[in-house]
Amino acid sequence: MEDVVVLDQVSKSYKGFKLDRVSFALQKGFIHGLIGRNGAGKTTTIKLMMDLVRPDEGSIRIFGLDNRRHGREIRERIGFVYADNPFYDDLTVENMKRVVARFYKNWDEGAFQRYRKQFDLPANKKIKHLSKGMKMKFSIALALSHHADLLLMDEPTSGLDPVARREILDLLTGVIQDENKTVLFSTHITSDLEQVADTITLIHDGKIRFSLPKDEVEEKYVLVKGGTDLLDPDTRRPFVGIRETPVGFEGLSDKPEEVRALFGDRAIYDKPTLEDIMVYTIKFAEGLGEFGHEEHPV
Amino acid sequence: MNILISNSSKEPIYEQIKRQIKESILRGELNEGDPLPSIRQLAKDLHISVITTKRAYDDLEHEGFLVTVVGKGTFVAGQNREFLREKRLRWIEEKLAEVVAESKALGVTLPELIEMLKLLHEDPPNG
Amino acid sequence: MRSILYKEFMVERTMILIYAAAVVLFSLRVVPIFFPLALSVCLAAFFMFTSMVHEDMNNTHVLINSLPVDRKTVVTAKYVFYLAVGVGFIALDILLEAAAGARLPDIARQSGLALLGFAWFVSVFFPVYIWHGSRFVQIAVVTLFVMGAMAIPIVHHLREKTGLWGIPDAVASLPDAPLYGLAAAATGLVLIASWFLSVRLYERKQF
Repeated sequence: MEDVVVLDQVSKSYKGFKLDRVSFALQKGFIHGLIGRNGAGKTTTIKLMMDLVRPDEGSIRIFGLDNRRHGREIRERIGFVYADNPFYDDLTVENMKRVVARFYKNWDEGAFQRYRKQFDLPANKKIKHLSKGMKMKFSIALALSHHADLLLMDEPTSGLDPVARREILDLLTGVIQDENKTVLFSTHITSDLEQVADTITLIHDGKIRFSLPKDEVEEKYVLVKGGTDLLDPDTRRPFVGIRETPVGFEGLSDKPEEVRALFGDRAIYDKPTLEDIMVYTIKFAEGLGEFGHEEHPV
Repeated sequence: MNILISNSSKEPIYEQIKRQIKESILRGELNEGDPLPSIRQLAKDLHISVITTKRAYDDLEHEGFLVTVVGKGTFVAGQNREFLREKRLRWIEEKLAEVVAESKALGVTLPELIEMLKLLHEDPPNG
Repeated sequence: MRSILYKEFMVERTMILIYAAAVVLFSLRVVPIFFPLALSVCLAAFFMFTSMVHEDMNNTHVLINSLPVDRKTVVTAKYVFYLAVGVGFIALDILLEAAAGARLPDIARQSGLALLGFAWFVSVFFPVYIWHGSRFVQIAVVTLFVMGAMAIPIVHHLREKTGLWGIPDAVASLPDAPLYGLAAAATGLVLIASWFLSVRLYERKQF
């Protein structure tokens, strides 16, 4: 199983933000989820892959090629979707498509028309008159219409209603039926990833907190609920974070056996959602490992 | 074949898939040589990760229930008579173990249990 | 390169038409103007600004540079495009003026100057645009314009006083061909140098 994208010790500093020696790889044939808060580094990571932004140190290889020296070749095979959909607003959908299509050797007009019809995109409407959701669908249609081997999508479902989001997710799993295609899906809507992602990478404050197959992430954690009387300095230790209320506590632990041994059947053990894992991990990383309901209602 | 996944079950999803496929085979719903959906198609249909379906199929292949033919797909493995019977016996044992554990928890004695067995054995199967 | 040129065309075609219409009006002296050629060059320059602003709006640089194209090609195509528009406006003006009866040698000389002038303009402002963005260029040009306007009476005054030390007459007495040859060569060099600089600057840009 080869790696389609390899980031090796990549660092990037901006004013007030630093991507710090980030390393991870994306295996071919899967949908990789990238989660994190706004401003955590998701967009920067994607921009680094697209050579829009240069790393201060480290290397980036895509399809086995250095992404700086072979940028053009690489981008021929990448379909991209950005959260803000930068288009020429005065162009119509049809004309913008014509402009983009000319850049790709493998442009598939048939495929684009199929998506256009499926998404109900009006060909002759100016882009500035499209809703955010429509612009997003347009971006997605463009990205899927040139036989790209890698799809880089930065918040592709933001601005879409749940029905549209499902449509897009279904499209992506359809794309992945071809095991030579790979998708990177960055989002903060974790429920989308719950359905389609094969791996989850959590990025926070410029650092990767974990990068694992989704199943492993879910099996690694347990959400514990119990009476506050169960908590003491010892029992708090196996928790990533605890939320205490007057009617009990809820905590996320990455040591499921230990907590079960500690609490037995005096507590409830649930499978945490990706959102739970993300929120607790981030709050812990921000030094807010324990938060009462008065300060931070979750 | 139907595969139904519960997200709220304690049983890991790949185990649920394995169990249901095994049961289908043991019950004879799936026969030797029957094709199974590809891991990717299954993942898409069940809205789960490809890695999960792959894990289930890999395990089942290891255990002798499935066989993958490169370029063709995954199929129910040929079972010889003995093998299948052994598998089914093992299944019965597992179920009996569950029953025994449950009875003990409830305080049902062995004679009571045997009595129940006798009655069930004599009863005609429900129509 | 063709894909970028196509892009420029599609994005700017309405603007080009509008500006071309203005060129027509000026060159036919529908709007009474002294040096329509100079004005055509100015229009070409203004067109360049509008186009730069278009590009900066909405951050379309992100879109273009995400496509399979390298930075050098993006810059080169822009040079080609702006120069082509400049040449186009100048040619349009010449044709119309000639049709309206202007003298060929006069127009020939003026158009030569106009071309060189425009080429210098592009050479100077394109790298500035890449470095600091369209806003900066607008301010710079307006400032220069104002300064130029203020300079005219000063130069005029100087001319009265000192005859500009005979320099303009000396230059005018030089033989035409080599002078123009030299000017063209110099402009060519400046244009190439500008292109080099722009490519370097754009390749280093981050979006």
